Amino acid sequence: MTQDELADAYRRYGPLVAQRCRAIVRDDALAEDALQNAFMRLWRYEASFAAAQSKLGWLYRVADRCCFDLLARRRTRRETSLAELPERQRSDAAVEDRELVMRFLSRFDERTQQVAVLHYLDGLPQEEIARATGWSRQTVWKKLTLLRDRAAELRAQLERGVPV
Amino acid sequence: MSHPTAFVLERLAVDDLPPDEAAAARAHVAACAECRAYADSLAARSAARLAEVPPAAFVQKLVARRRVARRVAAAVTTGMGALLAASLILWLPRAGVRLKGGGFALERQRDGVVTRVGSDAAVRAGDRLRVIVTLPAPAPADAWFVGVDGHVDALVDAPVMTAAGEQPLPGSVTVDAPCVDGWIVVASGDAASPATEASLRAHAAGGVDRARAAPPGLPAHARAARLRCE
Repeated sequence: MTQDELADAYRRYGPLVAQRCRAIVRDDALAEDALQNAFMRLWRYEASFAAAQSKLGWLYRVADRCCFDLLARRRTRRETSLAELPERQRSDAAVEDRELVMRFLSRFDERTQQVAVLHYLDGLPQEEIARATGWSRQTVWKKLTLLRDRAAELRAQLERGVPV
Repeated sequence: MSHPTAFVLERLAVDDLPPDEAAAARAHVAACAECRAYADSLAARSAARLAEVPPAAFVQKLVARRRVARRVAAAVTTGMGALLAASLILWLPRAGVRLKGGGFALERQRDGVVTRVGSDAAVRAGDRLRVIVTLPAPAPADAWFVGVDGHVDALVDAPVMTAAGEQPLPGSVTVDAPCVDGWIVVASGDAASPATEASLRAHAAGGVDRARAAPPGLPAHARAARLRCE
């Protein structure tokens, strides 16, 4: 892949991937690292990228993993509020769940993180998450239930003033 | 009204949808103020991002990173002429590592002497290693170093289409100081992919038990040779 082709890929997909990285890691510097890591992978694996049905989907999956890696390594981050990021209109409860889950994303295992991102950022329904991940709908349902339960616990703790 | 997902609208924004799905999504956006607002916000933020970090500047950061990564991570691509001339390019059924229908071996160059080594090879800072892959049929091959400290370095710039038989992967690896125990991982076929690298990184994060014969997260069609620091 030439540098011009890399620049074209960034021009087209970079802003969306950057926005996604910010939504996941919630720290501008970390998000920039994750974005660069994702594009380094694109550069390295251009054949895999070229063969992907959805180029944006390929980059999102790679960027997600880059973000999860960084979250696992760095426990401290300056948090970017999700309010700074574009948001589809949702119910208050859904927005609150999304905020809580994404804020505490690093506390979940990687499978649950993947489900959280596909559900809360991409807005995918269960069957599409199952298709995207290759996991059964039951597994996805369990993960989503876990996320909602955890969000409820976190909300209750925060309301009681208990450190989380 | 059933709305397209955020992902569909984002794919629409970058022309990533098949024509029929794009037409349906475009028609929905034209009729839906909520989705149009989201699409407009994506366009505005994309323009802002590109103004903030233009493509040329972003690519230069990647170029600089690749250069630094090669130096710091010790994956130094070198002209292999001299090494080739001195090397013993051997398929190593005993000392090598079996790979799907074939295997890989390592050459260690130390003080100008090239030695073939297998798994549990003793290495020290300054040693230069080269991966020799043997495949039964043409296939892409890729290689990484996984350190016990959890870092993962790609040893080649991109998966290398490798002919059948014995082939050296391009370049060589210089063992950095301080030397870190770890593994050379080689993957072929479908395993020569970002998924393998991601799996290695995810499993290695936080460190790996040096007693393991191979790092965790190794897919089928990937094999590892352990390196021990002297």
